Amino acid sequence: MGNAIWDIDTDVLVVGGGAAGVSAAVTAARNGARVTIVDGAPMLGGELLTGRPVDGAIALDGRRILGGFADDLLRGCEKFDGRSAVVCDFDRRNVICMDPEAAKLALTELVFGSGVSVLMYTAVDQVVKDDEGRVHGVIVRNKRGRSLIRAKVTIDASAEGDVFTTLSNAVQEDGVYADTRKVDLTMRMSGIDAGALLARASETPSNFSLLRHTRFSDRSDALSKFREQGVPILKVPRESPLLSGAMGPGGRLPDLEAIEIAPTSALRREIYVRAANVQVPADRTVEAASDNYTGLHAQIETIIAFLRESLPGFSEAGLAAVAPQVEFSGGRYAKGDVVMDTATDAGAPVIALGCGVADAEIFGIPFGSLLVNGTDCLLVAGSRISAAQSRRADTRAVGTCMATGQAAGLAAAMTAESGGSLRSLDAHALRKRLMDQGGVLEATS
Amino acid sequence: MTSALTIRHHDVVVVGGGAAGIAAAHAAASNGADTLLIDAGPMLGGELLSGIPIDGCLNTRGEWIVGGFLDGLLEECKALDGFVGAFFDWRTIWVVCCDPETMKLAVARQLDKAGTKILLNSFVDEVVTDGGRVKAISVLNRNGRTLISAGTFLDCSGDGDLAVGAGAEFLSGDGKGAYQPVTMVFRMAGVDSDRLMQFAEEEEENLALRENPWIKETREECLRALIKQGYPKLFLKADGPLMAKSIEAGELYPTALIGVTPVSMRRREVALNTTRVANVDATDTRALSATMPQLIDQVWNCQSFMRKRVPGFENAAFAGIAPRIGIRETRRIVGEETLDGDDVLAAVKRTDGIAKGGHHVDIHGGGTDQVRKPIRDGGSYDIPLGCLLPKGIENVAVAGRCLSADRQAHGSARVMGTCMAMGQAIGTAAAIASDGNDPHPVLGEVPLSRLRERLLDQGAILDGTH
Ligand SMILES: Cc1cc2nc3c(=O)[nH]c(=O)nc-3n(C[C@H](O)[C@H](O)[C@H](O)COP(=O)(O)OP(=O)(O)OC[C@H]3O[C@@H](n4cnc5c(N)ncnc54)[C@H](O)[C@@H]3O)c2cc1C
Ligand SMILES: Cc1cc2nc3c(=O)[nH]c(=O)nc-3n(C[C@H](O)[C@H](O)[C@H](O)COP(=O)(O)OP(=O)(O)OC[C@H]3O[C@@H](n4cnc5c(N)ncnc54)[C@H](O)[C@@H]3O)c2cc1C
Repeated sequence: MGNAIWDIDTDVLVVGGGAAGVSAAVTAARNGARVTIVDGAPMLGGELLTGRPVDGAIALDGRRILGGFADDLLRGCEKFDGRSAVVCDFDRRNVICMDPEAAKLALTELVFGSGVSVLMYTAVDQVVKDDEGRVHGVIVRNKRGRSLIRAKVTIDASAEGDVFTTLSNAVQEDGVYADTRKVDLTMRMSGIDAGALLARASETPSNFSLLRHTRFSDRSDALSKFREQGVPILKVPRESPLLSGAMGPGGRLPDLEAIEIAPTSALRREIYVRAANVQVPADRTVEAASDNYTGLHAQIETIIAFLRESLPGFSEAGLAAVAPQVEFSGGRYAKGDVVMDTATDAGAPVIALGCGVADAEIFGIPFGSLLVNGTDCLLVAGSRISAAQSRRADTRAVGTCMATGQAAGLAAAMTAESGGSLRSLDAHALRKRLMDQGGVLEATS
Repeated sequence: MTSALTIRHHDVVVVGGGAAGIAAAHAAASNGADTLLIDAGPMLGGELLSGIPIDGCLNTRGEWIVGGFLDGLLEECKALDGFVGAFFDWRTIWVVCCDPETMKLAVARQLDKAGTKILLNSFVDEVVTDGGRVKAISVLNRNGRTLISAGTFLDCSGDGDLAVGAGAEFLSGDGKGAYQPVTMVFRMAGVDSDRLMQFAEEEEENLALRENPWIKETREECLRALIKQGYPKLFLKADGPLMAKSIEAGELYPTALIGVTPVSMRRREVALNTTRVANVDATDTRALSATMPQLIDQVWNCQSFMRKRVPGFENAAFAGIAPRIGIRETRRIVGEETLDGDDVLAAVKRTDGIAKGGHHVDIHGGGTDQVRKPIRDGGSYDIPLGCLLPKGIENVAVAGRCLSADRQAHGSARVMGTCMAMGQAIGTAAAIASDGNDPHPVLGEVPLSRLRERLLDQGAILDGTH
């Protein structure tokens, strides 16, 4: 714990190494920028490490809306025996299911392999800005001491707005005033019998979120395809007889929003399970999540016991992994040049695509929603981009985070190279280069 | 991130939630102290979550030398179906094998029962001192900075960050830039244990066996006993034909051993301890981060080697890596006393011991280098409180791999069973020190007899073993 401040000079600084951050860092480096990425955690990957299914990659009608970095990641996973699969939930979405353990290896290889300079275990302490509100970099803290990282462009991919929330007028007000946030602790289980589970789901679909999209109006046909697919992907909502009966006073389950499962590894017959959660005060998340650490782990015990007794296919199943960290929903969103909502003008040059969770419609994301209001030299990527409430569930999808990360990384590299400002960047040139590098800006079948 | 400073106070603050820290925090809280456990990372348990076995719980003879906190933790693992067993490697050590994923739940249960308060994702970055005391520490996290004061501070940070911040002297590695390697532990599932053990029997020249002269059995008998034990706990050695050939051919990177440890019989899963990058100062974050690609290369290289060359692994699948890079050696705080390597090797007993160690001196180097020196007679040695009290700081104690020891002694006392025993000792000492409502407790003044009595009452093992 020294007091000296180390000085690091870089073209592009990426804060946060989740889906958005690694995508941004790799893209910027491949486009010639010197890139530094910092992450407070001991492992790159952020929420990718939970093993959750990737939304925002394949639309419900089967069209691809994501490419470039995501393809490299999936290929990387393949190399490490993580066989990804496109899976339909026979409700509203197509997802890509990924093995998070293979992803750890693939991400490491991609990030280091593209020449990015990496600081793990390193958190942002202060943001460095000038009188005009331009961000010049950050001061970070780790065991070696403090470092001033000066960058031509900084990308906030922290999923918490740790950079932009320190600026004035850069945060959307509604998020700030939410009183509580939800904290989740996900897990993985292995040894489930998918056949038995899918059989039950097809017999009693009312216990599950299934067939809500009009695409599945021929119910018996859809259910038989669902069984044929053979993949354990399901959501048990809180209203279902299965859950509602087990929650509430005297019930054995804590108050859950849902139990969601999706495959992570066919080799290990392993699934991702999202269920354990708790509400905490929004103004002291670190303390509150810590206070609930043991409680969330206890919930996991209860949920495993419940699944083993109540769902066919789980009788032999057991814990395979507890996620490496708790995760937060809610919180603060950037206020950008454009605050995207469901009515955002599709005419603006689009730099990434997303897909609506509720309506399965494809939409475009304009560059303006990555440009943080009132500041220059700063981009936001990932779950906190400038979107109104109506779009946030869609823009925070893992796939969409990769897409906005890729766009931010490329924009940053181009700006660092030209020496111009982010706002004067030619959006059409950005689009062209993104597409040249595999980015999907028009949905393809 | 605001600039306002939040303030909180506790009787006891523990920094670092690895094997030593969770034991310390549990002991302090269950002995009545208002205790806060802080870790910079997102999880508690440290290397207990990586899949390596807990060493140092028993001596070579198979006598338990650690109890108390450890017993409770293993009970929880058993209750959660995450306990595999205690095994002799018929080389030199007894190991306790648990499922590292269940361990996360077990650690949470233990801390919850004791009423320990927890603060994660929080980095201790400054220490406020006053003469020979630490008054407070400053902790940095997303919500800002918190100034935390306490009667006593227990440094279980592995690196001795708090003690060093308070001005403690320290030694680092061999003092000339050599450090034990950092390692990425990984796991493989779907291992055919019977086939593996059959291979062990047929090609026993690949196994490390019988390294402690106390073992009277012949190599052949050791092998039989290992096979009879029936669990995939074994060490492949670099100078056995299988590894030697592969290393020579460039098919496997040079490493001393491949340690195979069962972690879950249900998942038929083992952990492998073998990757290594030596001589990195792990307190240099940039250098530590930069080892990742090499470690990952080695992970993949070794899992391919296992599948290709080691019977029983043909159909095994890569099942994941540890949550973080494993660190064996950084700083050793200079304490009131220094644990002496010769005493360790000679299994020296003392009347003022507050924890026991029994692991061989185990100093990994680069490539195939590793120093392994057995403890005399397969016995154990005693660690006095003075090795856990940084010189000149009256309300700080250390436990875990930053203890006060020479490099050789450190090579033994760093293992997790011993870390837990040390942690329990300083946690209990801190609780006793804050018993009397003294606003300025001094850890060195805790009556030794009271501390030992309390530890023994609570299951610690201090006497009566070899
Ligand atoms: C419970 C839950 C369920 C979800 N389910 C789905 C789903 O089924 N499908 C889907 O597509 N999406 C889902 N999402 C959304 C999706 O997981 C996330 O929005 C997305 O992964 C976020 O990616 P990111 O890169 O923006 O951030 P993250 O993956 O959160 O990465 C942020 C990184 O920044 C680091 N960091 C943060 N602050 C700092 C700092 N100050 N200094 C240094 N480093 C810092 C963190 O350590 C972390 O590694 C879900 C989200 C939650 C919470
Ligand atoms: C690859 C490998 C294999 C090993 N094999 C075995 C084995 O088979 N059996 C065995 O028993 N032992 C083994 N060991 C040794 C043993 O695992 C470690 O020595 C032991 O776990 C150290 O525990 P600890 O509690 O002292 O420190 P750590 O586990 O290192 O914990 C320190 C904690 O402090 C936190 N921390 C550090 N600095 C700060 C700060 N400034 N602020 C807040 N928090 C901080 C860290 O995040 C960390 O969680 C092995 C070690 C390695 C690396």
